[in-house]
Amino acid sequence: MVGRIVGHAMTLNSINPTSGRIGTALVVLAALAIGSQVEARMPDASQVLKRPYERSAQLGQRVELEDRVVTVTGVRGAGVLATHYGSVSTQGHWVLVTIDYEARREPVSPKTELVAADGRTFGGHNPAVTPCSLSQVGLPRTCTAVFEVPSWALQGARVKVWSRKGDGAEVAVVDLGIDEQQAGQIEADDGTYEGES
Amino acid sequence: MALARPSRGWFAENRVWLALLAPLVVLALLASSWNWWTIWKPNHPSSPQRPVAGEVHLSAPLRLSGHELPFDMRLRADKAERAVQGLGQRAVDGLVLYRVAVTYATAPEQPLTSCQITLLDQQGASYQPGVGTEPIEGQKRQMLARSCDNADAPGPNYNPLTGAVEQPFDGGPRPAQWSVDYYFALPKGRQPSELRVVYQLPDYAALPVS
Repeated sequence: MVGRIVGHAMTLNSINPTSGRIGTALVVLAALAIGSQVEARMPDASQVLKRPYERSAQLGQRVELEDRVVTVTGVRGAGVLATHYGSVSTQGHWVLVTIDYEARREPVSPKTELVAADGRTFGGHNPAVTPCSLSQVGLPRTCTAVFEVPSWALQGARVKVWSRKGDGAEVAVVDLGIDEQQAGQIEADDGTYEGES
Repeated sequence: MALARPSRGWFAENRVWLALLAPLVVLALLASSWNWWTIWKPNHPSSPQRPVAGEVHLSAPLRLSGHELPFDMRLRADKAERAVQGLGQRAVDGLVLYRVAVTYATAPEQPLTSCQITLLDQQGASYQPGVGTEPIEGQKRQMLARSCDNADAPGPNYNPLTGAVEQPFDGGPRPAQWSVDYYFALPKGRQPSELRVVYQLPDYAALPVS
């Protein structure tokens, strides 16, 4: 029995101080062990902060990001791109995604990428394509983002429209609504895209 | 028989540790704000230089390719004025064109570097010069200014990759003072408030234009 009997009563003050300290240490160690296990099962804080904040949307749906408002309004295909350097064809398909965007505070231009159903990403800088114009407050713009993709990447593809660069940025993830039939239409479209006027 | 120790109270018994908490909290805040001090602040416009007697003096050395290079520039800005057109261009529908004239003064032999011009409205939204304009039919269209250079005689400049001083091939010596007109297209209802000229962050010239 822990403590000391005084007459017929045992009081808290009479608990052996050494035993009390050992008990406290055990409680602290148990709490540390539990905390360690909980932390090991939680996602890494720095990774969470760097992860983009995704806003899912459908074709035609307006998405308000932190620095811009974007609406992906259409998707179509092309067989050839007409550029300043001449016509550019592809062994895959040119996918043309039309995006309306407007800055909310600072000048912006869209940074986009196309994500296939399996997660593989297409996009990046294409020297053959004129970059989208800058939008400012009160100056809405429309731009056609051009992606070169293989046939298998069409069905179920989504387009990502990023807000500012950097960790924890917001990104609109827009389902292009490409089913088997529309994928076939895009594959069959062998027209020439003349670029932005 | 053991005597119970008189209790001094939890706060009294732990006063030393409690006193240590205050500096520990300060240290924790400093440690967690390390990125703010070392990354965010030097790379954002966080150090406005405001005009004294109407003039901003930028004198912080430029840091290019690991070198600290001398820099000295004085700037003035006139109040923003509404403009119907500028250099054969007008604002697109729904926007209003404003002209802001900036005067730069520095020694002709002072090498310069590229700058960034931004106009802020009274709600804090920012605009770049020459965006939101369209050519007027039948008028000769010229490029709207977007840089700080004296277009006719830009004078020497620092190579941004090496820091070496380079001389332009033409234009002759740069005058000690020159003026540049910038055109901004703002939505109706917005008013220009401040012009920012950035040569190197975090410093920037904050010139009131309203």
